[in-house]
Amino acid sequence: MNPLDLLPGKIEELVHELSVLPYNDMHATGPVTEPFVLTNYVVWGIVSLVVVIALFVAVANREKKQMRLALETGEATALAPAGRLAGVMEAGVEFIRDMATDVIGEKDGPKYVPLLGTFFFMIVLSNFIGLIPGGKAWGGAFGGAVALAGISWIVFVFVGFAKNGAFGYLRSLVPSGVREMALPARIGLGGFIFLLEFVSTFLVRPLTLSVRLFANLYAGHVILGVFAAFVSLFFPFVESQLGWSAGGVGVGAVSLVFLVLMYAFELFVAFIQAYVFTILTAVYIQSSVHASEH
Amino acid sequence: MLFAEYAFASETAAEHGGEGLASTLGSVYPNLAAIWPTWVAFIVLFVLLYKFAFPSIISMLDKRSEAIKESLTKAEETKVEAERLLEEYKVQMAEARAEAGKVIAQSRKVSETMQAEMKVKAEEQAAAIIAKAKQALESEKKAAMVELQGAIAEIAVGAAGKVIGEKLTVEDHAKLIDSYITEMGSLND
Repeated sequence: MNPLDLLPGKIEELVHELSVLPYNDMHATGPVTEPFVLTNYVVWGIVSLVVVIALFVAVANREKKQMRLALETGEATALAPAGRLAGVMEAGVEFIRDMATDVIGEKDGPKYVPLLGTFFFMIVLSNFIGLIPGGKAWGGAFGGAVALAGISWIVFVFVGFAKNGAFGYLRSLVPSGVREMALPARIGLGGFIFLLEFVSTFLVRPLTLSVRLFANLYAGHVILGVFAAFVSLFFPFVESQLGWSAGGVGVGAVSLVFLVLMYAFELFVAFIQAYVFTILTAVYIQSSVHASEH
Repeated sequence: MLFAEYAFASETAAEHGGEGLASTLGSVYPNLAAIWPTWVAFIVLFVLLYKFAFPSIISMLDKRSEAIKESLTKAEETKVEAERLLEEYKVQMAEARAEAGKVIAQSRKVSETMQAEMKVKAEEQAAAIIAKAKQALESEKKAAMVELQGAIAEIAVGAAGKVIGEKLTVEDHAKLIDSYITEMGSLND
């Protein structure tokens, strides 16, 4: 039997497995459409949430204790990083803080650190957990990515209106150079640019944020799934009804190598997508905070 | 693959006639069942990080960098102080060495002059002792001479008296002795 004959079935299985299904019924015929069903993505999301919370509670508690010790005894050594986990988490927090101050500014940046940190740690941890075979990431379901992009949208739009007023914020969509032109140009060109900017700011931004996150994770999972399917199809000890063939084993071996390489790459993507989502949110907030300046 | 997906989508669409959009969009359908739990999870995590984790971690980071800055400044100060002290000690050392050299030179000089003085004194003393000894010798010699003169005169008078056999008067004796003495004195000279 030609192993490739089984491939469409495998792909179908893979796509089905990646869709949003009730957590306890992986054989459901279609994606969940009802709002109050506990889905596979949410169960894995809760797992990743518990992991993030556990990490932060452990580290923050330890830091608190060390800080108290340092203040009581006056020993500066108590302020040293308390172990590897604390070191990694601190590096992450510092990474977000530097991002906030670099992008949004020294004055306004620190305020947004918890928000950006929530985005980053929630996305990065769940992306990593989504790479566990069978695991799912928040952003791996389009709904999850839309939800995250929606929060980002609400925040930067709210900040824009709160900082500049409704008129000021909308006016800032037209560049100051155009605003100073003669009246016909101001109306013609300004109107056109306003329309463009309005669409790009309020519609395209959330759309690209969500699609970028979702598509990267989804595509990554599909690629991993396809290579895994190849491995299982060409190594006959996995699918026992298939016969041996030297060429088949070769293809299986190459697929296995690619699977491992792609896995490493997907770990990188998992981090990069969390980073991109967070820094873009920071950039959008920055443009809202300083909207009236340009 | 595309065919498989399409086939899958149309198959499920056929099963759920009323949920056409979800079935057509397939994986790209933003399920509400994924949206609101994400929001809940986000809010839970945000509250936790905002209220609890970030303040203590950030204050730790700030405190630590403050402590590091402080100890670096202190270390720099200590280094400067140490260098200053070293310089000071070097100067003091050099001064002490010069002082010691001076003291040694001075004491050498003192001992040399003392030696010279002692030598002079000793020489003087020796000279004095020799002179005294000479003087004593001289007077001893004189005394011995006088005694000898007396004895010789007596012997001579006795001998002379026996020789000439006559008694001389006291005046004659005196005259004779005087002339003898004079003679002896001239002999002695």
